[in-house]
Amino acid sequence: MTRQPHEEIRELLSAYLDRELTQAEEQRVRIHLEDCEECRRAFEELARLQELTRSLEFEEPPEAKMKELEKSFVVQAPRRLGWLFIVAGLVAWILYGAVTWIRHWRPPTVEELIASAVVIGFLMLLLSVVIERLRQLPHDKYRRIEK
Amino acid sequence: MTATGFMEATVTSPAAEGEGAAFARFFEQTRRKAYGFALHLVGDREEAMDITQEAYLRLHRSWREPAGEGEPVAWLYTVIRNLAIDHLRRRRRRPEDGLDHVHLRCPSAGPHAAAEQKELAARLWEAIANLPPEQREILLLRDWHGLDYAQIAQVLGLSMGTVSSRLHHAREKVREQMRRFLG
Repeated sequence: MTRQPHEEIRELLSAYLDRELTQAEEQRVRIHLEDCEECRRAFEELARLQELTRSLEFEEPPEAKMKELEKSFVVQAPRRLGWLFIVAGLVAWILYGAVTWIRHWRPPTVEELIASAVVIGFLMLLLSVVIERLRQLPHDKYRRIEK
Repeated sequence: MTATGFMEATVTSPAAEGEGAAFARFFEQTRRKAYGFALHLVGDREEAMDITQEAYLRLHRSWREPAGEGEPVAWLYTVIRNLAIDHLRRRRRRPEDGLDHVHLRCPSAGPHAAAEQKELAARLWEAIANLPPEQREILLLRDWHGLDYAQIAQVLGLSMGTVSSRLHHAREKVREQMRRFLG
C-alpha cells in the first residue's frame, strides 16, 4: 500500500525545519505547504516549539570553578614543558655521570661522596612524593584541576 | 543559559588566531552548553562540573590538531557523553535519571507575559522529559544545544537517517502534548 503524499511530507517537516533536506525534497515540501493548510499549521507549530526549546534556560555552571578551569589552560602548556625539561635533564645528567664514572674510574673523594649523598637524598624524596601522589590519584576528586 | 549563539562556536585556523586565543574563545562560547549537557546526563552539579573539566582538559591537550571547522564541538560533546556514561555505569545509574534533577529557570520575559511564559516553559520541559531517552537526547542536542544532524550523528554514533527519524518522532510527540498550549 502506497503512502499518501500528505503523510510523506509530514515526515519531512522536521528536517525541513532544520534545513537538512536535499534541494529536491525541500522544493517538494515547500510546494505542498503552499496548498495544504493542515501541514502548514503543523510546520508552524514545530517551528514555535523549536523556538520555545531554544529559549529554555537551565542552570548556569558554577562561575568560580569555570574561572579556575580557564586558568588551568594557561599554566598547562608551560608546566608540561617544564616537566619535560626536568626529566630530560635528569636522564642526560645520569647518563653522562655513568659514562664518566666508567671511563675514569677512581675511588671517590670525601667531597664527592657527601655531594652524592645529598643528591641521592633529594632524588629519593622526590620519588617518594611521586609514588604517594600516584597512589592518591584515583581517590582525588580535584585531580583534574590544575592549581 | 539559552541556546542562542551556540552555532557560532566554530574554530578559526590557528594561523589566523593564536592557538591559545582560539581555544579560550571556544571555551567561552561552549562552556555553558557543555556543562548543561553534562548536567542533563548525570544530574549532579559537582559531577557535571568534573566531567566538563575533564573533557576540556582532554580537548586542550589535542588542540593543536583540530579536525576541521565545527569538529571540536562534536568532539567535546562526544567526550562529555562517554565520560558521563562511564560515570553512570560506575554508579549503576541509568542516564535518564539525570534529568529529574535538572531545574528549569523562568525564561526572561516582560512582567506581563512572565507567568504565561513560565507555564509554557514548564509544560514544554515536562513534554520533553516524558520522551524516551534516545529521542530526548537528540531533541535537546538539536534544538537546545544547536548541533546539526552530522554533529549529532557523530556524537551519538548514529546514521544521519536515524537522527532525522528520531527527531521527527520526538517532535511529533512533543507537539501532540503541547497542542493546546500553542493555539
